Amino acid sequence: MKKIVTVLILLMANNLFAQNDLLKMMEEEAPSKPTPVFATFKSTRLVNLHTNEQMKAKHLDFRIQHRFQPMQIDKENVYGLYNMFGIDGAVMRLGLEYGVTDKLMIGLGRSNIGKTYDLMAKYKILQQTRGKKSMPISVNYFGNIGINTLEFSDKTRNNFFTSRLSFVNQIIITRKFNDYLSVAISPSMVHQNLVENKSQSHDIYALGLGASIKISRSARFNFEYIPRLNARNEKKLNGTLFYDAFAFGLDIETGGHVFQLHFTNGAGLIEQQFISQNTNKLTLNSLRFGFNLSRVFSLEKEGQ
Amino acid sequence: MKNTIIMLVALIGLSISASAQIYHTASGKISFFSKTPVEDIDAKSNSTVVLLNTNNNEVVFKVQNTSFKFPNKLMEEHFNEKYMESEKYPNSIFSGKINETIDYTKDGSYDITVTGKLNIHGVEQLRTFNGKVVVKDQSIQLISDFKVKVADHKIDIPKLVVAKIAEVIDVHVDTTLIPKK
Repeated sequence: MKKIVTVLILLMANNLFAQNDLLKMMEEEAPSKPTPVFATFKSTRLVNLHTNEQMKAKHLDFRIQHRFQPMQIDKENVYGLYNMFGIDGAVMRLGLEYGVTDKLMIGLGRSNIGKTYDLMAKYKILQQTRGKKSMPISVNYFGNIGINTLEFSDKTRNNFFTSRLSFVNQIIITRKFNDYLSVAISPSMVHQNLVENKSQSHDIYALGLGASIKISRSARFNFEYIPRLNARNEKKLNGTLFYDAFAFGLDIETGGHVFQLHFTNGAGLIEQQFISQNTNKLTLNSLRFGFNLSRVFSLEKEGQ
Repeated sequence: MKNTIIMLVALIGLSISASAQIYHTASGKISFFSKTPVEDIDAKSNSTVVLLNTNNNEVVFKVQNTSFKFPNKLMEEHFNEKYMESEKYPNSIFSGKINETIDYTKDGSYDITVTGKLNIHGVEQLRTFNGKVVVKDQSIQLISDFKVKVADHKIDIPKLVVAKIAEVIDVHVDTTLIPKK
């Protein structure tokens, strides 16, 4: 009798197992994988600094970066309105940036500061994830080569092409803490083959600091500050000091476009310009209005 | 001693028969379409995991939202970030039961209905879908077309893009299961 009862109980238990635990079996069959964290930032740039965002494979970003002249809104300053708070003049960069793979993007740009062409590449090394065994941060590498094409000031000298070149290496460490806050820390190095002053450093080290706060589903507030770690008291030939770049602004996204509207104390458009060549002190007078406009095109064929 | 042996035999016997009733796949296809006069959007996932217990007709579908591929990667990101909130709700799951009795040992095609819980965006809905079961050479194909109303799953579409995304999404499921060893 006992035996039969035991067998019966086992039978029932087994049957129950089979009925109820298909969902549990699913968890064994397909354990919930860590999900990659997306949209840490809205765009490949915060304001000036690169973010961990990459162009996806076969996607092309046409990017216009624009910085107007200083607003000169100090009370004492009579030129503010006269120059329409800076929008009478501007510097800009046009860029085409392409995702070779989801991890590698390359780009070509030209800015009218120093008639500079730049070639850039950004590679995703680590991707932040959520879930079990997650990765807490994203890490990207960014590098570029700048080619200044201004005529040499002294043509009688023996000038070298290499004097036109400058280089940037940057590690971008980012973390999206939650829906509302993402931060970036970017140790950066700018190397210039040719500098104005003999006493000037060829290598400038800096730490890019950035934060982005979500305001709504389509808007974010961004802030960035890039303190230089060396050469802090170096001057240009004309005696002007260099200053750290500072910026804050808004991202507004509408479908395939991202509009980035911001205020900065520098005119620089690429790293060699805004990290190491900014001669504008942070004052109300020197703030400039600027914008980045990004339009992304998918070159992927339908149905692939 | 005898007792133990009987128990063991019963256990082993039952567990073998239980595992033989499970059919599975990890590469089920789910696609969906959003059609509006302004824009057609379609996305596909080829990594839906499906389990079917042929003994009691229970079936479970699980798809990772980030596995849906869109031709436009920006749309893919918006799908995950803004609409599905895939960081919070990584998977869409259906767990239910086929209502008709099917002879899974005979090849053939059967029209079926399946009733169960559909969990998308963390919101569960009790649904009944029409579908088809095709039994052929030890494999079981499950096919279904159904509609999902985005509002039913509290997926909020902002007014700016309301013209581009349909209120009702057409979903197509096509999976082929094989016996689980």
